[in-house]
Amino acid sequence: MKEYISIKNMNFSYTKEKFISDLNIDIPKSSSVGLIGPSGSGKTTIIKLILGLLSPQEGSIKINNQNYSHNDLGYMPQQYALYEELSVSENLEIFSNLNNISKKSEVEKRSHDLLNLIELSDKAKELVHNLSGGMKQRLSMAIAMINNPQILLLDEPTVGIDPVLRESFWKHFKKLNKNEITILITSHVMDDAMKCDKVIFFIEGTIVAYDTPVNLVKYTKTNNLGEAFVHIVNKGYKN
Amino acid sequence: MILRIFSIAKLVLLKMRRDKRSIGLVVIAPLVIMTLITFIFNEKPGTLQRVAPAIISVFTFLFTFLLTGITFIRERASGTLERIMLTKLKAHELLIGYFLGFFIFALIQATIVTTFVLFMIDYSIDSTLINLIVIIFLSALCSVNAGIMFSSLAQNEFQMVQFIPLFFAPQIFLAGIFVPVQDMPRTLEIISKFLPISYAFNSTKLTIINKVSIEEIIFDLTILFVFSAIFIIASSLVVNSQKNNK
Repeated sequence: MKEYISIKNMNFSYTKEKFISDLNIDIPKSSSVGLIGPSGSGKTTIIKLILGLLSPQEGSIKINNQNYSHNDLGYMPQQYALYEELSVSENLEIFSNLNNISKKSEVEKRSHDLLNLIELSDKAKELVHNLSGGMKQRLSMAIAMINNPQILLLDEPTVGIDPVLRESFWKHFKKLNKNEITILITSHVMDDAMKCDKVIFFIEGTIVAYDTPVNLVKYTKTNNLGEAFVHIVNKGYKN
Repeated sequence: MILRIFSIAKLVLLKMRRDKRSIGLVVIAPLVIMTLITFIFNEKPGTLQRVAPAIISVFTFLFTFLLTGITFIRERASGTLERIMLTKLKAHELLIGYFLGFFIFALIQATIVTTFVLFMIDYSIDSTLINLIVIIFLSALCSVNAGIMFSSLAQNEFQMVQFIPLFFAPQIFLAGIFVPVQDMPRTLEIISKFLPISYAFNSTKLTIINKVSIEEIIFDLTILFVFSAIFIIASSLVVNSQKNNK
């Protein structure tokens, strides 16, 4: 598959010491790619580099072989980043308006569709600070999708979400992939990784493996992705 | 652009409206302080007349600065600032929207302070009232943007509160409130020219005590506008830096 998001020779450091080292990633269009690694490995930093919230010291990021604007991206941060004093529908309306979706009927339609997806239709008028953590997480995801982005960057999207809803999220992600939306997900959860088209194992700012989940298990001769991860950390990866 | 600006203003208003305790404090804090000041100076109407311009200019600045600075730092800490800056919103639109939203509250507080003071000094309402309205508008504009700018230097609400004496103490002491600027040592006199409250205080004093026309305070108003422009540019850079280098 042809690469869509292309990160080349990227180096980034917060201090004098390199944090992301000589990073090269090609992500195919309409795929779900999981960025899997322990806390502090640099997953969120990569998301922020793609978003343009951080500037790399070296290297480049291109989308479809072009420079891009962050308006093409949808972003769900690790913290909820919601207006707690506003209701669920007011949050969606504000973020719609800030993305230039001005027509009231359009705002209402998008909000309605997204609330159905995240199963919060009955909470539309509820203030966000009255919602549970999982509900806030779902609303945060809906806001990431409000501008119909071509690329979705989701930072730990399934934290605090029950297994049933996680399944429904993944069904929707696959539907988005069919509609040519590319998704990059960071996660600690191997269940999420198994559902991705490709998985990047990422440790201390370096990619240690990038392959399909099936290949990662097959070539490490392990039983599951969790074991494959441990194997690769200890012995490296060759396919 | 208009939609985005009004969305931010609406956001500020909705947040404030839902926060009933803050709304109460917006009204009660100036009322309590002004009542206290009135009791202190009640027996000395001449003194109240003298301190009235200082009270109006300093408190208009202080309340607005606090309101904006703290709200903006909460916006940064919760991650919503980063998130809204990833929409189509531009830094200057955010600042205009914030100003519109907060200006209403700044106006409420400034109106309480000014009405209280004018009532206590038996100020007769005439054409100079327009001077006070313009001074309050420019002071609020200056203060909203100063609040945003200083909030970027603080990492939490506690640090933001520490900026209050740092930002206000030199202004209060050097604006000519206690000692006329021309009687200060030359160095302090020069420093006072770089402080916005000096101009807010001077123009308020000329308006209340000397009843001058707006033409006679146009220099002070222009400088206040220049300070506002500087703070707007500085806070735009701050917001852009959140966007590009966080």
